[in-house]
Amino acid sequence: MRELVIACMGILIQLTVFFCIGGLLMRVLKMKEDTASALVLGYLCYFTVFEAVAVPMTLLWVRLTVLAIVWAVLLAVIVVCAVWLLHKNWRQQTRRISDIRKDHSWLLLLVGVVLLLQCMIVVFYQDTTVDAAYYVGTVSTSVYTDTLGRYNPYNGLLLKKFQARYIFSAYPMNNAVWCRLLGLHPLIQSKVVMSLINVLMANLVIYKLGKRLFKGGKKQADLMVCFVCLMQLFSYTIYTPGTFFFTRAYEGKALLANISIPVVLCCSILFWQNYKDRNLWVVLFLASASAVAFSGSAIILPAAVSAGILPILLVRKQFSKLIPYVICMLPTILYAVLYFSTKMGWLTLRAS
Amino acid sequence: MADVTIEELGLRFVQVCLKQYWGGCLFLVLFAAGVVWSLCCHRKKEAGIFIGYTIFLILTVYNPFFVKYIVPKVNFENEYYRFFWILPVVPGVAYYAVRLVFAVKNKWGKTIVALILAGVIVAVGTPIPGVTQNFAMADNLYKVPDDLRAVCSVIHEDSEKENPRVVFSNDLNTLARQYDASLQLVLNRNAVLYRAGSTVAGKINEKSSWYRRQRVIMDVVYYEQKVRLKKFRYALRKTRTDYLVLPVTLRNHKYFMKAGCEPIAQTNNYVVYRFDWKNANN
Repeated sequence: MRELVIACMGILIQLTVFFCIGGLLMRVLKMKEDTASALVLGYLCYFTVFEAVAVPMTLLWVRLTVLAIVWAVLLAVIVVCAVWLLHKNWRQQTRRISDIRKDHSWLLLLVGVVLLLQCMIVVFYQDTTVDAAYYVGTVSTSVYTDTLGRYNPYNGLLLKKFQARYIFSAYPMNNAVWCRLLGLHPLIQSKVVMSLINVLMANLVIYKLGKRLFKGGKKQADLMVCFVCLMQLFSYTIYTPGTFFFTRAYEGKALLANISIPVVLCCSILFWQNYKDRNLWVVLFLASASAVAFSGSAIILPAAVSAGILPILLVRKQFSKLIPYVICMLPTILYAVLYFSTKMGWLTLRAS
Repeated sequence: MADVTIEELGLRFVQVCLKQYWGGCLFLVLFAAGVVWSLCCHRKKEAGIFIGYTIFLILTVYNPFFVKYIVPKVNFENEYYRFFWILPVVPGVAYYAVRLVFAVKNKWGKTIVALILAGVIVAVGTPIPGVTQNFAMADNLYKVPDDLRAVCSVIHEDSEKENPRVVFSNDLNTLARQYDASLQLVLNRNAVLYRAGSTVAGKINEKSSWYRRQRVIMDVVYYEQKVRLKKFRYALRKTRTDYLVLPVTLRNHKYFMKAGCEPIAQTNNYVVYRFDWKNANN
């Protein structure tokens, strides 16, 4: 029961953090406020910054407790700033709640049911995939040893070298940090708390995507969320994003497939509609950088960014946009350089 | 993707991967139909983005020539299927479905079309086993079997060591350290996968004593093969095994007792054995 209460608190606290970060970012970028965008942007920005903080600390053998304290202080400052600067806007947003029912009609109820169904599947599903031995095992091991990924999760022994394939993606260490801060069991933080948050984010991304595709049509976006959920449920092979979404929502790969790549698609549509919008490049950069935090497979993201941006860039002859396009791919390119340098033996990442 | 190599398939690699990726699911066909429709009738609409994606990907990462020469160089064969995540098949089909629904003006007509389309998706798709079919219900909030929690408690109550080394039954081996990181596993995940025939579990040197000892234990515990008692006991000693957690249904429980393993507890599905490797003789 205690774990359940802490898990619920964990979900609320982490969502609040994402919302505050997103709100501040949208204010800086002078974007039109809306809750869904604030949550998604906050989520992407959170993991981008976490990656920048956690990876160097990991390579410097900093203790998990130290990272947790640094991170908690940083988040506290951000939340206080957000409350200070944005509380008036939030009050206005709350007043607009009655409009939501008007804009969405009964479809909102259907979306609610679909979301609830997805959450229940993710919470109650018994996962048996062997990959969790790393993705959750490294969280448990880091919490137990008070280190950042320095022990082999498969057997519990101290590593000689960090594994290049995993160490540049800080997503599991984020779970370890929250376990340390809230006293949650790593399995509950990874497979329940974070999985639920990931499901919510993936749906928000699809909703935003629907709104973009239907030029603001909220009812169409709602129905699109429902159709996507149904297709995910009926798209089984062990490789599809749907299978990852429902059975392995705690894995970084699932986030790459169900959040990062759809965000890139969303940005591409925005670029198609309004190539002058500068904010899309910020979002695209955040999607790219946070993808590295999620999974080493982010190495495929430049292909996704190029598939979305390059054809439009060529058709519209907007060659000046080549610079932001390249900048957006820098995080994944940097990751690729580090990964291959380690693989080739040019760079050694000692863990002990 | 296991069992699919560029060396073997050459230019057919992408095609075979795509087939394996979608299996019996026909969403790709629906997406292709939508893209053709966009190409013919609505090139300037937002769906034009799907045309751009498709053409770009076909010319680059789905191009068999590109794949044949580049992918093996970056050692990405096993993970190549992840490039198929980029093609927006699911959002694309959902988009076309919504457009069809909203093309109908009547409210009831919309509902009927939506239901028909949902039926089509169910009919041409493949349900996820354990999710859409025969839901795999977790025993508890930790999502590990109740037996594992009980076994971990038993081991810690019995052991004087902070980090006892344990041979777990195959179904618990990868879960054990997720639940209790203070335990050390005798059987390495990759060695277990390799023994089971996996080709994507990393490089394993079959001749190394590290693997050979684990293989002896796996032969007895996971595959119930006949292994000389002395050899098995030697493997347990060399791997400094403190405990074994074995399924009740195993046929050779007497063999473990003869090997010097002492049963200390039993849950519904597992027996916990203690092995005193320091004092075990050959």
